[in-house]
Formats: sequence, C-alpha cells, structure tokens
Amino acid sequence: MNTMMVLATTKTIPDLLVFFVGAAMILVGAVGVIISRNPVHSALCLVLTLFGVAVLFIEQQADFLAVVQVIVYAGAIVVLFLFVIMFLGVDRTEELGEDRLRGQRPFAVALVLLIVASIVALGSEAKWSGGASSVVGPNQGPYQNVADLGKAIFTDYLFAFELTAGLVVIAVVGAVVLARRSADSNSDDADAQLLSAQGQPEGVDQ
Amino acid sequence: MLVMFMCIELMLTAANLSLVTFSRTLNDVGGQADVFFILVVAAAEVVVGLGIVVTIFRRRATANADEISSMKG
Repeated sequence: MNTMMVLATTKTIPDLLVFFVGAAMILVGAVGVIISRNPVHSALCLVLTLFGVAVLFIEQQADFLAVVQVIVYAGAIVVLFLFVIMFLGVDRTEELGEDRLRGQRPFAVALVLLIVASIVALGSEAKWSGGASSVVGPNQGPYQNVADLGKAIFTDYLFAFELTAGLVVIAVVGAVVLARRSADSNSDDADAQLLSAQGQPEGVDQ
Repeated sequence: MLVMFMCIELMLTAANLSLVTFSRTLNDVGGQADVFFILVVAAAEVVVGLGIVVTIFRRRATANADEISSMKG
C-alpha cells in the first residue's frame, strides 16, 4: 500500500463537508432535470449537476478535468441545448402525453433500485477496487495533474487522441450538412410557402 | 426529446465521476485520460444529435418523441 492509497482513505471534516455539498448539488440537479416540466428548467438543473461534479472532481484532485468539465460541458454543451430549445420553441409547446407502455415508471424505479443494490453488494464484496495500481502512471497530486495527464494522453493514448480529433471534425461537418437548407421544393414546406408567397424563385441564394 | 438528451449527458457524467474516483483509488492517471476522451465524444454526440432534432422539427413541427414513430418522411 503506497502512501497515495492511504491518503485516499483518510477522512477529515472539510473533506466530508465538500463531499456532501457536491453530492447534494448533483442529486438535486439530477432529480430536477427529470422532474421539470419546462425544458429550460431542466437545462439549468443540468448546469447545477455539472457544477456539483466539478466540485467533486476538485476534491479528488482532478483539477484539469474539473475546469474542462465546466468549460466544455456546462459552458458549451448546455448552451447548445438552450439554443436549440429557444430555436425550436419547445418550452412553450411541450405537451406531456400519457405513457404508451403501461407500468413503465414503476418498472424503471424497481430496476434502478435493483441495479444500485447489486452494485453496492458486489462492490463491498470485492472491497471496492481490486485492480492493479498505477498502470498508466501515478496520480501525483494537485500540482502535477496537468503534466501527468498530458504525458499520458500524448504518449500512451496518442492514437485515441488523433481518432477523437477526427471524430470532432466529422461531427462539425455532419452538423453543417444537417442544418443546411436544401434547394429543392419538396423539403422545408414552410420555407417553400414563404418563398413562393414572396414571388421569388427558390434556391436563389445557392 | 431534448430532456432525453440531457439524461444521456447525465449518464455519461456519472461514468466520468466513477472513473475519476477509481483513478484516485488505484493511483492511476489513466482513468482521468479516459474521462478526457469521454468528454470529447459526448460533445461530438450532442452536436450531431441536436442537428438531427432540428432537422426532424423542421419537417414535422413536433419534438415529442412519441409522435415521431414512423421513419417515413
């Protein structure tokens, strides 16, 4: 048992306080995402959840990931969700119909409880983690975190890094293609009516 | 349907939290590298998924998942 693993199991009062505040933010936000009737409220509760996760990341000495989580997840992805919600106007026209499958909500609650109970039982049986320690590289604490993570990504996981870079480019190209308005008159009925009402030929901006 | 997307992001965040916790328990920085890649893939997935939702909404003027039940059109 090296010293890092011993440090990971000591509990002091500030550690417990930070953990409980972070965990409370996560749980309140997550329940709020599911329960809210307005999708804008759901997006704001998602931001609360992501800030709670960032607090727990900092407590576990993953500083780079906490900041990247806030900037990318809460700052870009949730903003994208809000753009699409405002653009489509679903916060005004969302109707909550009844469930098509009978009894799916009690079944979902029962399944969640069963899965959580089995994870807790199996985890406590296996003493929570039995893997090999420091396979890629040791976690050297809060001031070395960015250097260690950079070393791991750019040497051991370089191929995965290049693949994800290609994936992001493909996603951007796909989004541009999906959002482009096509020039034929069969699609985009609202645009076709608008253009024909104005007396202009279609595809004039092509 | 957009709340369903947000719940997918919640599930991915839960996996991220588990990975960071186990990376600290096992004193391994590979768990944090995995979280980095999961974050990138989640961002790409949200971009494409929201593009699909916008395209569906343009055609049918509804974003309710129960009403988009046929692949026609």
